[in-house]
Formats: sequence, structure tokens, C-alpha cells
Amino acid sequence: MSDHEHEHHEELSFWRKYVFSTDHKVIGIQYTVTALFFLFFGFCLMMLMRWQLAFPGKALPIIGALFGADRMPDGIMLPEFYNQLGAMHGTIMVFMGVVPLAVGGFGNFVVPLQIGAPDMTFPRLNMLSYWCYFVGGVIMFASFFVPGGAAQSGWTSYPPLSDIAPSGQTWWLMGMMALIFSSLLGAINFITTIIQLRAPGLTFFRFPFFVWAQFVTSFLLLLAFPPLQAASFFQLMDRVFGTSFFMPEGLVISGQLSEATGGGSPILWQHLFWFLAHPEVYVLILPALGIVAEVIANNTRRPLWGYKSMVYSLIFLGFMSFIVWAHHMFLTGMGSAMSAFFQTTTMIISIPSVIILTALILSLWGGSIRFTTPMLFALAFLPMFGIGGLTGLPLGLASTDIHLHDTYYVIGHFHYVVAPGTLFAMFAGIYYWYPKATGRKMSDFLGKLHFWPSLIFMNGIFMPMMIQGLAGMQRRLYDGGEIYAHTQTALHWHKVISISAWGLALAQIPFIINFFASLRKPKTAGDNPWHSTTLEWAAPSPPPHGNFTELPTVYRAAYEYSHPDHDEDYLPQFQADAQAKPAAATP
Amino acid sequence: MSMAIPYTVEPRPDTGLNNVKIGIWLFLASEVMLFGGLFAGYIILRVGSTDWQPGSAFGLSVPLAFTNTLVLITSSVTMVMAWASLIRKDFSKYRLYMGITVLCGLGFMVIKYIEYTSKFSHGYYPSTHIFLALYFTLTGLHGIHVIAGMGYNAYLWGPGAKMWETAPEQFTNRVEASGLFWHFVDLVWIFLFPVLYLL
Amino acid sequence: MSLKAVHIFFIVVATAIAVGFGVWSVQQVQASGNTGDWVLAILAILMAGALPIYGVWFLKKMKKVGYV
Repeated sequence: MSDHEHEHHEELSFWRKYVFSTDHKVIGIQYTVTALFFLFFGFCLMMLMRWQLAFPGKALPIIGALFGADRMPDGIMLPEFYNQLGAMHGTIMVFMGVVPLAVGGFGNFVVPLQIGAPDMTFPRLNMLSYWCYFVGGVIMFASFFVPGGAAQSGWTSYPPLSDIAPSGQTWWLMGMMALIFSSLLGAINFITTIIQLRAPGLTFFRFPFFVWAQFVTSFLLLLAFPPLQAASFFQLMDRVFGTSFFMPEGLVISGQLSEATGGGSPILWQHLFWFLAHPEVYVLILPALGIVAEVIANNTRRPLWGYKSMVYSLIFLGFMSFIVWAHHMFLTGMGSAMSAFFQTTTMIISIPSVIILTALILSLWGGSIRFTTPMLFALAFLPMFGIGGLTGLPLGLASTDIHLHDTYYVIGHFHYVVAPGTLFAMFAGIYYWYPKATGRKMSDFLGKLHFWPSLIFMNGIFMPMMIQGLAGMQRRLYDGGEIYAHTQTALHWHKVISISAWGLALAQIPFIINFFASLRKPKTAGDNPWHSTTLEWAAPSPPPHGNFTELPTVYRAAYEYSHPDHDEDYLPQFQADAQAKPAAATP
Repeated sequence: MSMAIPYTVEPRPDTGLNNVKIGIWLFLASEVMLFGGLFAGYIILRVGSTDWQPGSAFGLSVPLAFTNTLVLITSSVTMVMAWASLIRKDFSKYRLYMGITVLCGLGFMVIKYIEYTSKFSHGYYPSTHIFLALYFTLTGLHGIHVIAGMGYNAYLWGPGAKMWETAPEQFTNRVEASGLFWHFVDLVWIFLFPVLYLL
Repeated sequence: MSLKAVHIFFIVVATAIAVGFGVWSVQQVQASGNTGDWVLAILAILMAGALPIYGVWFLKKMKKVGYV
């Protein structure tokens, strides 16, 4: 598994250099671009759904005719197509958008640089990991065009519905297996790299918080995903070989007794699925916390407040995330003893999350804050994630969950965590590390034009969902709940949400322009444009193959900003003498 | 500019391990979780079933399964001997032991094939009963692991063994990693045997 | 952990399964009295005896190899 053949990188062909590359930076950028594409695609699915919810049964003008008679006859969306959009929006955003961006993209690009490594420990495995992800993505994408369309049983694919769904569900399972294999390879690579390839002097408690976040995240991916792999095998057997793992006896489908032999348990799927999917929530949020920590320390010009308690909280959070899964299942009738256990663990796991968030907020105290574009996104992350986290508490308590379960409140809650939470952190990361990846800074003006409307529209989307959910409006309704008496008072919010969603799409235009137009600027960013302390800024921008011109040595903790013995307001980890000028400031 | 990835062969001083050793153990940890999920499924389905039937109800052959257990234990012993031979720089012994290991894997799959076809000929398919669903899924996934381990061992026996000439230490590490995987696969069978055939 | 350590663990588990299987097949013999079950029982008991002996031999042989 070692790699000695790249000593003469100048001779690499175009294909080896940019397509089948083993360089962690190229793979990181491949992940980032692919994941951004899938995020955009998943967002488009959602915008179509929002039309149907805001104007149920009305023909979608102009583009409605493009989708064909089996999806949108005369531009009016069929319920089956609505279900496909919903299931695939969730799947794509979580498994092909946010996680590959946060772990595959940022993790790949930044972690080896931040620990002073020439590359990942297993470069070819890293390439394989990306291409498994790519294949999984293609399978998911292709599933829209198979007879009966894509998976339509929700992103959670609950049986028995998913067992009897059209063939798109089988494609979904195949795609998931490829994605799971990809993240497994990635996780092995990250953990080994972080343990083995640390630069001299870089002890674990000198790690930037982002490295810690990726380290814990990788363990979650490594240990939580395999049970879903097992569950996917079970469901694939059910669908292909007619077994009854998730099919109970005497199931009646459309008035007919099911031919399956029975003896299975639909709840088994839920247990195996949520055993993955709850740690998965932390896979979504921990890298985001890591990025926000980096950006906040850099832009307040002071060390992170309570770095060690943040790290301990992170590790504790990782452990706890494995024993909270059944709080998604309070309404399955699993019994009050089980519910009591899982609501207790759920309340406990909120403690380390609150510690980390509090430490990040306290880090702002007394800092001389620079309101750069990445900092704006990082600052917005704090209250948005806070809202997302706090609205989760009523869902984690079994008694209040009875009312809120499967309502728009749930959707509002976790989207606050993932959309204005994680995605804002991702944007912060893109603006922050773009100069390192390209040697060029993105436009601050366009960045602000991206940030402020995004912040407003995000809240325009998700805050009304809380109101709808509290009114009792169920999620996954094709007509948005039009036929129910109790939802009438909250129906008008659908239009507000939909218009905000389309507005959010417009707000991304400055970002897209900024992302591509900045590539045409001259490379003037320099090695350390943000005057940062961590190791990635010791490498040239963009870093060459092998990353560092000479192997860096680490002399101190990660965030020595405004050190009293030092003239400059930042003292990099890689600078030997506190009195001297920064070593790698000139190219 | 130093390009080579460090610690691919020699251990890192402060961790005492090389990269391959950590990598294979992490992989095995995830494999434990995979089979943990499968066994959890077995337990939940068995406990919740109103019509549970043991393997004997479907004519599962204990003598054949016990033979397979012996075959895999033997293959683990020869696997370790192959590795030990490399440590003692005895390449021809390595070839012999590794060859036996691969053949044992092959023998296991042949017996598995006989078992499967005998079930099919009696009209027992995965869809017949929840026990058979578990039996075929668990042994099938285990069989895929056997084939994978056997394939990699065959590679190390054949074309992969050229590395012995150029990088003997790295080759020995590879054989050890493969041996760790093979032991895991055998251990899974040692759990599957009583669970599916005896209990 | 090295392959040596894992192999020892493996032999311990294999011995346990041999003992367990021996008990199971003796019970089968008592219940049915089939000669086939006798063969299995004897094989299992032999295996349960042989594996620890092999394990000790293996430990002596591999003294120079570490456990990490």
C-alpha cells in the first residue's frame, strides 16, 4: 500500500494528474466540486417540491413540460414523482452532498496540510474512495431514469414500503453500498494519517480543532456505517431474493395479502438505520464545528476559549452518539423503559454540544474581530446551530415528541442544524481555504452579497416550518396538508417558505460567480493571507505535490494569536523563535 | 522535496506501529461492526419470531459444517506458518504454507457449494423461511469474505511474491496483514457455525 | 496487535468451540445413539485436546516475535 512511484511528478499525464490522481489536494478538490454539484442538484429537487407545496395541483409554468408525462403530465406533479423528489433530496444532500464536502473535500485537502504530512498514508486508497463515491453518485443519479423512477420511500427507506417499492429502491441500495464503501476507505485513511503522519512536535493537544473534528468524525464513519451496510444487504435480499427480513406476517398491500413468507421485523431496519444515521448527524456537524473553530480563532485574533474542554467534549460526543439512536423511534411502541433510556442519553449528549458552542461564543469575548466573509458565515453559524440544537430538545423527550414526531417541526429542526448550520460552515471553509487551494482570494464584496440574502432566506425557509410543525402539520404530504382541518391555519406559510427557497437559489449566484471568476485573478494571495497560525499556511499557495518545501516542525499549540511576548498578533505553530519574523511569509 | 510517505514499512517511533498495521486493524474494526449488525439482526429476528425453526429443520448438515470448521482452523495455522517462514527468510516454506492456505479456502467454498446446492435441490431457498433467509445471507456474506481473502492470498502466493526480492520486509508485513484478515474471516465462521447449525 | 497475538486468541476461541461442540455432540449421542454422532463427539474431544498443545508449541516457536 505504499507509494514510491510519484517521485517524478512532472512526468504525470493529464489523466494521472487531474482525474485518477493520488494527490490528496486534487482528490479533495474533486470531492468538493462533485459534492457542490450534488448539493445544487439536491437543492433543485427541493425547489420543484416547493412549487407543489405552495401551489398544490397547479401546473409548473415553462419548465413543467420538460419532465414528461410519467412525472409531471401537463406540468402537474404526480404524487409518485413528489415522493421521489423528497426521498432523493434527503439522500443526495446527506450522503452525496454535505458528508463528501465536509469529510472528503475539506478533510482531504486540509488535514494532511494541517498536520504537516506530504500526503495521506494510503494515496491509492484515497483515489479509490473518491471513485467509489463517484460511482455511487452516478447510480443514484441514474435511478431517476429507471422504470418507476427513483427511490420514493423517504431518505430513511423504511420497510415494508421500501421492500415493495419500484426498482428505483434497488438502485438506491446499490448506490448506498458504494457510498458506504467509499466513506469506509476514507475513514481508515484519515485515522491512519492523523496518527502516523504528524509533523515532528505535533502532539495531539497541539492539533488544530479541525483535525480533532475530522479524527472523531472518521471513527463515527468507520463504526456506524457498517450496520447500515448490513441492513442494506438485508433489504436487497428482501427485494431481489424475496426474503422477509423486514416483512411481517399477514401484511396486506392494496387490499391483497402479501406473498412474502413473513417472520421479519420492520423495526429491525429502523434500529440498524438509525444506528448509522444518528452518528451520521454528528458526521454532518463535527467537521462544521471544526471549520468554525478555525475561522473564529483566526478572525478574533485570540486563542480558542477552552480548547481542551472542547476536545474532551468532542470525544465524549463521539462516544455518546452511538447510544442515542432510538430517540428517532419513540413512536414505534418499543416500550417506555427503552424510551426512558434513550431520552436520558439524548439529554446527556446535548451537554458536550453546548460546551463546544459556548466555548466558541466565549472565544469572541475581547477579540478584535475582523468581519471577513468566512467570519460572517462562521458567526452566523453560532446562533443558527444554536436554534437547531435547542429545538432538538423537545424532540429528544419522549412525551413532547409524541406531538412533534413527523411534523414540519422536525424538518425545521434538523435543517437549522444542517443548512444554515453546517452549510454556512462549509461556505466559511470555502472562503477561508480558497486562497490556499488556488493562490487567489475570493471577492469580499460578492461574498457579502452571498452571505446576507442567504442568512435572511434560510430563516425565511426554516422558521415558518417550526410554526407549521407546532400546528401539527405532517411532513411528506403531497398536497402540503391542504385536506386537513387542523393545518388550515398554517397553510399560508408554504408560500413564504417556497419564495424564500427560490430566493435562496438566487442568493447563490454571487457565490457561483465568485467561485469561478476568482480563478481568473492573478495569484497574489501569498502563503498566509489571513495571518494564521496553523501548519497549512506554511506551505506555498497552492501547495505543490508533496505539500511542503521543507518538512515543518511544530513548536507550540495551534492558536497562539496576540501572544504577549511577540510583536505580531499571530505566532505560527511552525515558527521556531517567538521574537523572529514569521518564517514562511515570503514565497 | 521529500515525496515518499513515511512509516509504510518501518514503525513510527512514538506509536510503535507502521501504517499498514493501523489501517488493517481499523478495517477489521469496521468489519466487526458489519457482522455485529448482521448478528444483531439474527438475534432480533429470532427473538421476535413466532415460528422459529432451527437449522436441523431444514436438514443443515452438521458433519459438513464441522469439516468446514476444521478446514478453516487448519488454514489459519498454515497462514501463520507462512508468515513465520518469511520471518525466518525461508521462502520455499512460505510458498508451501501459503499454497495450503489458499487450497483450504478453496475446499471451504467447495463444501459450501455442496451445501447450497443440496438446499436448493430440496426446494429450500432464501425466501422459504426466515431462518433460511438468515442462513443464506450470513453465510453468503461470509463466503464473499472467504473469496476475497483467498484471492488476495493467491495473489501473495503468485505474482505478488515478486516483492520478496525487492522489499522483503514490506512483503512480510503484507502477509501479516492478510493473515489478520484471514483470521478474522475464520473467527466469523467459528461464530456462525454454532449459531446457524447447533443452536 | 501482531498476527502472533491474534493467532493465540484464535486458538483459544477455537478450543472453546471444540469443547462446546464436544458437549453438544455427546448430548446428541445420548439422545439418539447414532454412530455418526459418536464420530463427531470423538473428533471434537480430540480437537479440544490438540489445540491447546499446538498453542503451547506455537508460543515456544514464536518466542522472538512480538505481540504489537
